[in-house]
Amino acid sequence: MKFPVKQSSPVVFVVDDDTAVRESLDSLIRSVGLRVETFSSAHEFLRHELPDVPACLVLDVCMPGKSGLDLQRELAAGDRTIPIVFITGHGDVSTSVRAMKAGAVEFLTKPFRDQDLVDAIRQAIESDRATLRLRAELAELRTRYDSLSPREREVMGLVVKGRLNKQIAAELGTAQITVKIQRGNVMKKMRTVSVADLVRMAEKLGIEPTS
Amino acid sequence: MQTNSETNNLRRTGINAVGDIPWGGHFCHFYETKQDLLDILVPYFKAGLEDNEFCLWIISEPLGTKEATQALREAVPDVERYLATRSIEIISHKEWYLDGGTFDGVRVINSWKEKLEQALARGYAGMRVHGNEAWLTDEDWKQFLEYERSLKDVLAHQRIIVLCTYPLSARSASEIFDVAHEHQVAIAKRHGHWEMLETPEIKQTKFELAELTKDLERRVHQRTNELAAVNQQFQETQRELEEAQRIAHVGHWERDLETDAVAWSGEVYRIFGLPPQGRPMLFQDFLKWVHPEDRARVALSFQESVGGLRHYAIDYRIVRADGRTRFVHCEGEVLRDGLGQPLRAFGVLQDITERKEAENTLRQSENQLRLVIDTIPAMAWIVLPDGTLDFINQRWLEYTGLSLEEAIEQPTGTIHPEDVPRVMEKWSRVKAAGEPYEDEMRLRRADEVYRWFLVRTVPLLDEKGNILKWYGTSTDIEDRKRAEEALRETQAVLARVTRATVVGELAASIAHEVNQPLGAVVTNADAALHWLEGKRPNWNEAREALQRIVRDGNRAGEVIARIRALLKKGEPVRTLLNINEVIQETLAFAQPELARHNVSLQTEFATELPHVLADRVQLQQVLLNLVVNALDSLSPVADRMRVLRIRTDHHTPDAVRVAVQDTGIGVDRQQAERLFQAFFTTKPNGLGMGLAISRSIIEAHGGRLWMIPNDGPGVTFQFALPVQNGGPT
Repeated sequence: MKFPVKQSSPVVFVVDDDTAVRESLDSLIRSVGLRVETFSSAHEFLRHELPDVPACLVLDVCMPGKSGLDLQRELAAGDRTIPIVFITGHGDVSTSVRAMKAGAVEFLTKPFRDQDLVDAIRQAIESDRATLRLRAELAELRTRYDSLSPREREVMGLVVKGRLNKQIAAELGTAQITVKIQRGNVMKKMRTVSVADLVRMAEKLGIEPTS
Repeated sequence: MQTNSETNNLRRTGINAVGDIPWGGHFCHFYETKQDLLDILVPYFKAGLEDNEFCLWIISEPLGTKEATQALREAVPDVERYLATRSIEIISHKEWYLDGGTFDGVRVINSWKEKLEQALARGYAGMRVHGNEAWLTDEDWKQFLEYERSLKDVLAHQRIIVLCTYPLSARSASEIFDVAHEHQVAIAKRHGHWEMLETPEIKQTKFELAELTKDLERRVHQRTNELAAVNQQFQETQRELEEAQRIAHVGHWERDLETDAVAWSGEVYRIFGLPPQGRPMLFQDFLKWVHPEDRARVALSFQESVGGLRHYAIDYRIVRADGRTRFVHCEGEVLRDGLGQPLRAFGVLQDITERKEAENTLRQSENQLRLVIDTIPAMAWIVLPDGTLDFINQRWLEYTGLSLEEAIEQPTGTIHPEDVPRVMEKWSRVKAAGEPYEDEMRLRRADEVYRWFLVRTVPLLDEKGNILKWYGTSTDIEDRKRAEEALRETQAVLARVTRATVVGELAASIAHEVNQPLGAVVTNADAALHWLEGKRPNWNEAREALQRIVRDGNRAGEVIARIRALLKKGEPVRTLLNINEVIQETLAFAQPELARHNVSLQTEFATELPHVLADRVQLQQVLLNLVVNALDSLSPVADRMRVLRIRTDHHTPDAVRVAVQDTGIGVDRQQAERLFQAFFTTKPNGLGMGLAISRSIIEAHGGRLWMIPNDGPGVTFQFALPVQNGGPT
């Protein structure tokens, strides 16, 4: 199963109130061939629309105004999650634990080794790439599923439960031949040929088997 | 009558026609019959006997002794007793006048004298004599008249009365005239009555006497009037004198040196608190009123003045009748006779209690002042405008160990040689201007040790503003100076500790401050390495990264330097500062901490603020302290914005103000009162020195630091610093 994913280059966002830190990160990340965009505050970053390309956020924990952790919380509440690599001047254990629990990819204390940061960024981008892929796949399945008629959705629900056409016809109170046609439509619209594949799709779509 | 005649020296003659006559009276009596004789002689002797006179009757014919005695007995009942005591003797003329056969006038006169002496010796008042001259013959007549004449002179001053009788029949008219002429008074019978015949001499005398008496009376009258006038004037003067004495509390006294009686004027009595007395008192009595301790001295002094050793002038105490002690001044003169013998003393006495008390008070206050001046813990002195030393107190001499002469000779000799030029330069400047002088200098102690003194001098001016004297004190401030130094050191240490504490509280923030550029340096270095890797190194990017390394490295170095400056040991150095810059530098330390505590920092800096003359590090310490306090006050706040606002303004024309305002939890009233006290803290681990030190720093800069609660939550700490005339920056 292949989904169409945009193959444009990933981007690394940097949010830090310290210009020196921002500039150094900008340079370092570009030096390893990644695209980078820097912001001096959480607010500035939030005003920016996030692209559909794989991305990650290198975020300073301690900033005037909205802190790194605040931003993490807000982003988690939104629909576009973005993997975060925290950097901090203070090796504050409790803060790092909170950040990690909230899903941070990495928590680096300045000054850090460049490889650690680059690895974390790459890991985050890959993670985001996977996430984006999942999101795209799901969106495609949703589109296919949305194209089904209500009856076809009922039939699909029963098919993924492993019912035979005869059983489905009995449950729906229709002719077996009608079920057969509708089942064919489902397989066609969902662009699959195997019931097993359809079952996985239903799982991804979160379709509860109709009882 | 008897006493009268006694006192007046007039004697009763017993003869009505004659009356009373004085001693020495010599009168004659002319008779015709025996009865005529008795008529006169019996009352004559009766009066004599009664008046205690020795009576001597020289009898002659026609009377005999028996007849005479008989006649007397009839008039004087106890004539026997008189006879027995020989108060009366009856002697025949032959025995008396003609003893030896012939009349001898001188012998008879001597006999009279003898008899008189005996009579007086026997206690009689005098002698009464009668002689009948019937026996006189013509031959004796002339001699007898001589005798009568001399008798007059002899009798003149004697206590004797003489009555001579002459028979009229036996004498011629001229003889009778002669006799009458030789006697003061003559008695004869005329028309059956005894009459007194006066000689023209006596008449003339009586007339003259009457005239004299009249004149005398007139003069006495005139003199009496004059005396009355004088007396009145005298009394007036006396009264005025009394009044004057009363007012002046001066009285006068007189002492009779023979009787030792002391007489006082009314004011002396008043001074002694005694009622005036009519009669003088004895000197011994007067001494009783003198204070017991002064008695001997008074007596001695008086004795010395009587002895002519010295003038009598003495002050002593008296104890008045009411028990009160008064001071008197007594002065007197001794009056002497021609031989220099002292007769009496007189003088004045004045109540000087008030003066004495005033003197005592003055002396006491003088003594007290002197004591104060000598015991005050300072050296005091007075210098004349020409630099001559006028006065110096005991302490000065004790401290310097110099004698008064040495001090006068070289009043500035104890000043430390290093201080002399400075002191002299300032002193001459101040002296010329006539202004108060104040300086600190080292003065040499007796043991050659120099100690610091605060020397102050003020000029004493006359009405015209001329300098009369310079009054000065030198106060030992060595201990104070040392204490100040120690205090300054302690304060410096404390300030440093407090500073370190504040810096410690900002450790995380400072670490961040250092860490940021350090982190950037490492990252830039990594980036540069990356840019240089591969077949086509990116030189531009690498250079830029290296440039940033230099920049950030410097920045980290600056932060370290700032902290070092903040913590370094060193004397405060005051320079002209722009307060806004100092605040910004300080905030660099605190900003990360503010961010970490999610505190929003707002600054409102007035532009063109004048410079302040201050120590940069100390100001940073104060600001840091206020910011850290604000942070502590803000951290517990969860329900509102955490805001720290720092404002500067040109508070007044001569001061700039910095306000550090927070929206924190604030302080309650009780805390507010103790906020600036040392060791008072609201923080669990606080030293309680921050604000106390901050305030002392600001006050040391001539400014002030205070706190006011906000209208809303939180408080505002403000400090104002005096501006320097450096103009706006």
